[in-house]
Amino acid sequence: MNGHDEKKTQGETLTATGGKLSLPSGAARFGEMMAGISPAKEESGSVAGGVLLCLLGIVAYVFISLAPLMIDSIDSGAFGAFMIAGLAVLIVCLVFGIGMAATGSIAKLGGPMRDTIAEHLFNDEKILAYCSSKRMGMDFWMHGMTPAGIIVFTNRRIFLIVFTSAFKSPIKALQKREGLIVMVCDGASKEGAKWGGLMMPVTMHLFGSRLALKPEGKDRAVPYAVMHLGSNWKTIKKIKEKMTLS
Amino acid sequence: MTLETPVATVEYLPPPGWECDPRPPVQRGDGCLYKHLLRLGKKTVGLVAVSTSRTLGTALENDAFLALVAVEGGITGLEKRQSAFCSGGMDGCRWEMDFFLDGTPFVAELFALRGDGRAKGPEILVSCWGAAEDPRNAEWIARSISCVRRVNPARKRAVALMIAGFLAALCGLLLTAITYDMAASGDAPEYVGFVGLVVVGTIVFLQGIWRLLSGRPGKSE
Repeated sequence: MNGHDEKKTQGETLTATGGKLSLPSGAARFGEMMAGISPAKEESGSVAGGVLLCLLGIVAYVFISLAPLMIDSIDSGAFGAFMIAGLAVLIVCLVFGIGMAATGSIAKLGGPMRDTIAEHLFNDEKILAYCSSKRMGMDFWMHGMTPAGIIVFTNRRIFLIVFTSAFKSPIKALQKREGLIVMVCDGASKEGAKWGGLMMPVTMHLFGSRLALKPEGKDRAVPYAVMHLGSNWKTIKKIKEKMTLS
Repeated sequence: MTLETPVATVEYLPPPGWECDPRPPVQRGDGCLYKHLLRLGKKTVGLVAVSTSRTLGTALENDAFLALVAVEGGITGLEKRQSAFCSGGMDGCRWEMDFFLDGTPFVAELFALRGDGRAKGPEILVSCWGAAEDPRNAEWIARSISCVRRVNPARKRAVALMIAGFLAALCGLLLTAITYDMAASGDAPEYVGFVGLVVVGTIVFLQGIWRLLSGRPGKSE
């Protein structure tokens, strides 16, 4: 049944890019905005180290708080002071431990993320920074600690790697190339990528910034919380300044 | 080889010596493109893809051509010839293309197929390319394809929401009925109304109906 209803065109000239995701319309402008920003250093955290620090903090809190009851030489009247000291140690350990674990998880995503994006990068395109992003709103609470996506800033555009399941390992998804979708956002347009806005709970603003991304082909923007963590955040902060100033 | 996607499972047979390389799915237009690149040694010579939206239909736009014929370089003198194609329950369009890639004569073949003559649903795309004298294998792959459609994941999720909502509301009503019965028989001082469970269950159930009717994909997609 081949061959009927044949149509023909001829003589067209194109530039083929090897099936790469095409650059958004604002890529050149975004490139100008990103001029002078150098790629972020590799992250150096450790998930195991961070978890261990958190656990040590809990153990230290229990021992310090109960010290007046366990050690005879300590005045039992100082119970309150020891409890506050224990709480301070716990908070410090939790802050540093969670930070270390979170940067460790970002570091682990780095290699598979680069493999996933590599085939779409143009010759003059380089990765500046990336972050493991959390969806804001109800989804944030639904997804918990599992990253809902990875935002990758290059000097031409913003890639958004969205995971389709909150309950599967993002590293495995990246390695198997299953359960994820690679999308492209126009960093130069306010519609494509916009910083700012309210996050719930409001205390999130102490630890993250809100970035609303509307990938090409999608009809609405989805807000993400970009956490203020590691050396990638230092670069993303510069990118944010350039994007908000323009 | 099997190309698993949330909307369909596609089985195909690559020519001897060809290897498939699964690539990460990408957003294309308002849908998603799942693809296997076909390699002969280190050279990429073709692809098999499933598109969740209408990528080609009956016209081959240049951006679709560039996305599905993964060559790199300057293309001149591109000629496209379109014809209808039908094989073993799959029908659609076939494009044959001649062009010069950086001055070298090249040919490409592309098939856009749908199962059971459906106008909607996933589109299966097969394309192969190579130098003009290379054997043409796209038709061979296209004829080997078999496709099993899957339930739309958005609708699947919607049904799950409806079931969860219904069960929560039912649970709330049953618990209320049990405590009411206990209060009536004097075993408990008064009955407890599980209003929250019923209300939340109803809202979740209605959300499920809304998603089912609108076919809206989940937020995580």
